[in-house]
This record gives sequence, C-alpha cells and structure tokens, in this order.
Amino acid sequence: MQETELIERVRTGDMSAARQLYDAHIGAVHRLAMRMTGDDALAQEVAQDAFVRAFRSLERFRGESQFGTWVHRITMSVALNVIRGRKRARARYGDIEEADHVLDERRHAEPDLKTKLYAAIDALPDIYRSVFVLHEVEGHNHDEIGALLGIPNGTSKARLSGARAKLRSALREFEGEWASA
Amino acid sequence: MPDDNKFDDFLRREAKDYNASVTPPTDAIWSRIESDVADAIRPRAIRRITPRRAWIAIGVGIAAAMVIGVSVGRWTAQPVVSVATAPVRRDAMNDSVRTAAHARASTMEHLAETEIFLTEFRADLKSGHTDAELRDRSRELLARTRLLLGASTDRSPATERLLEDLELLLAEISALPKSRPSMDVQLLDETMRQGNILPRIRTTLPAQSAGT
Repeated sequence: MQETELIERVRTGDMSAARQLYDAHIGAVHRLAMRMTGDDALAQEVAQDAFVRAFRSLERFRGESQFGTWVHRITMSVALNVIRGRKRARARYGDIEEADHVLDERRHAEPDLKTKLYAAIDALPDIYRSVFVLHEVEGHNHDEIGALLGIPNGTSKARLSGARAKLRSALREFEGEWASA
Repeated sequence: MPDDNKFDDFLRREAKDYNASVTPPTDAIWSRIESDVADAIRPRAIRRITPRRAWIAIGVGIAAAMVIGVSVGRWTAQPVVSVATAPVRRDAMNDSVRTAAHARASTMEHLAETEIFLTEFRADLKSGHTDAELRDRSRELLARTRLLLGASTDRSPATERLLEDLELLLAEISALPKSRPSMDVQLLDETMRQGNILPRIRTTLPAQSAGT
C-alpha cells in the first residue's frame, strides 16, 4: 500500500494504518534519536514523543515532503529539546567528569577501533555531539545545523572542530590504528 | 596537516555507522504510545468537547462579533469625519488610545488566566495527577500567547519577555506526553521556578492595570 494512502487512512482514525506507518519509520526514528542522545532510554522517549507529535499534527502534513523526512524533522526537534533539558539538568548536577570516566573504562574494555570511536562519540558533551552527529552522520551543512540548533553558523563550525579535537584526543593512543585504517 | 586529514577521513568513513544497527523495541514503544496515538488520530468531529473549550469558543465568538461591530461602526462614520480635519485627529487619537487600552486589557486578561492555569498545573505536578484537559488548555493558551506576541502593540520589554517565556513554557506543557516522564515534569517545574514565571506574572498584572 502507498504511504499516502496509509496517511489518508490514519486521518480517518484507522489505528492499523497508524501502526503500519509507525512500523515503517520506527527504525529510522529510533536510530536518529540514539545518535542524537547517545542513550537508549532517552532515545526511546524521544521516539515515543516524536511519533505522538507526528500523529497529532498529521492534519497539517501536506505531503510536500516524504512522511519520513517530516518525522525526521520532528524527531530532531524533540531530541534537541531533550538535549537542552539534559544540559539544564547537568548544569545543576554536572557529570562531564563521569562521562570521561565512562570513556576511559570503554577505551580499555573495547578491542575494536570502531567501537572505541563510538564510545568516544557517546562520551562527547551534548553540544559537541549534536553538531558532530548532524554534520558527520546525518550530513547536514552548517547553515542547516545553525537553523536547527539556533546557533550562528560559525559556532556550529567551532563546535564541529571542537568535537573532532576531543575525539582525536580520546583516540590518541590508537593513532597508529586510525592512521592506517 | 596530513595527520589531520587522515583523522578527518577516518571520522567521515566510520562515523556513518554510528548507532546504525541498534534495534528498537518496536512493540514496547508502540504499547506505550498506543492510547495517545488513538487519541491523536481520532477524527475531530468525535473528539470530546470540554466545557472549557466551549466557553473559550463562545468567548472568541463574542470577541469576533465585537471586532466586526466596531469595524462596521468606524467604516460607516468615515464620511462625517472627512468633513472636518480637527475631529479626524481627535478620533484617530481616540482610536489609538482605545486600541492600546484594548490590547493592554487583552494581555492582562490573558496573563490572569495563564496564572490560574499555571498555578493549577503546578499543584497537579506535585500531586502527580494527570489530566488531558490540562494539555488542551495549555494549547489554547499557547495559541493566544502567540496571537498576542504577533500583534504589534506597545508593550513594555518586560511584558514582551514574559510572553516569550510563557510561549516556551506552554509549548513544553502542550508537548508533555500522557505518561509524564519524571524528567519532563522535573524540568518543567524547574523552568517555572528558575524563570520566576508566576511571580513575574503577578507583578506584571498590577503594572498593566495601572496602565504602564
């Protein structure tokens, strides 16, 4: 069945169509949420919220873009809100040292360079990881990232550069491996 | 530097697969949102109309009728005004004074209603009580906040900032999931406290009514 037809059925209140639409996109939504938050429990919350918002505002979806692109944008927005909320919470409780500790543990526990890199990305502070993920993983340019995060283009570039520096520093002892990878 | 390029290449190549193979607990997530989705996609005609919504609809209807009435009255009074210049200026001045007074009254009324809503909401947060009507009311207040922000009227910078903060807060409340994760609830409470939202509304209300 065409996706537009599914959407029409959802608009009439058809829950089985809603479930089909959900099944078709949950993988991509959850993956994006995981990449943005670096935390499975948070990613599930983001995915839940993103779908509820998408279904709630389905009447406003005009089909000018793919449903997947639209849900992607909603997920991004929800994830960024969660990250901002976490930033506020961290400002109170502070856990960057804890993140470094986690990175150290993973660094010694994981044998594979890729796994080490992913652990290092997970351990990046939110402001760096969100820009890094949006640029290097999701393929957005700095103008788009600036608009999404509400930061100037130059700040986006600076954060990406900061993220790369932190990752390089985190993987310094494996320099031989990544240089020859 | 060559090493920098090598590292950037390595990042670009390998980061593409970051969290790419995570399998979501599809059924578990669906079961948590199923009732919200059912509620969200239910056709409008059979959605529950709350008494509060009905009152707001009546209020909006009366306001629209008044705006139309005043507009028609002004339009029909135009030929008389065009005869003499001095009364035109006086009428224009009176109009702008009336418009400003009306805008102040609307803002004050809106802030008063928002204060009541936020006070109830805060009490609900503390008791852990969940009510779908709260989200509906929050959405209605959010829409009116945006209307006020969009209207070009003379407002003090403090009132403008307060309305902007309310817009963000009401948007967050509107987006609060039915299950109300404790983190969301905690952050909302924190937003209200850190932003001094309720005290600011309370101090703005007398200032507005005094015509400042």
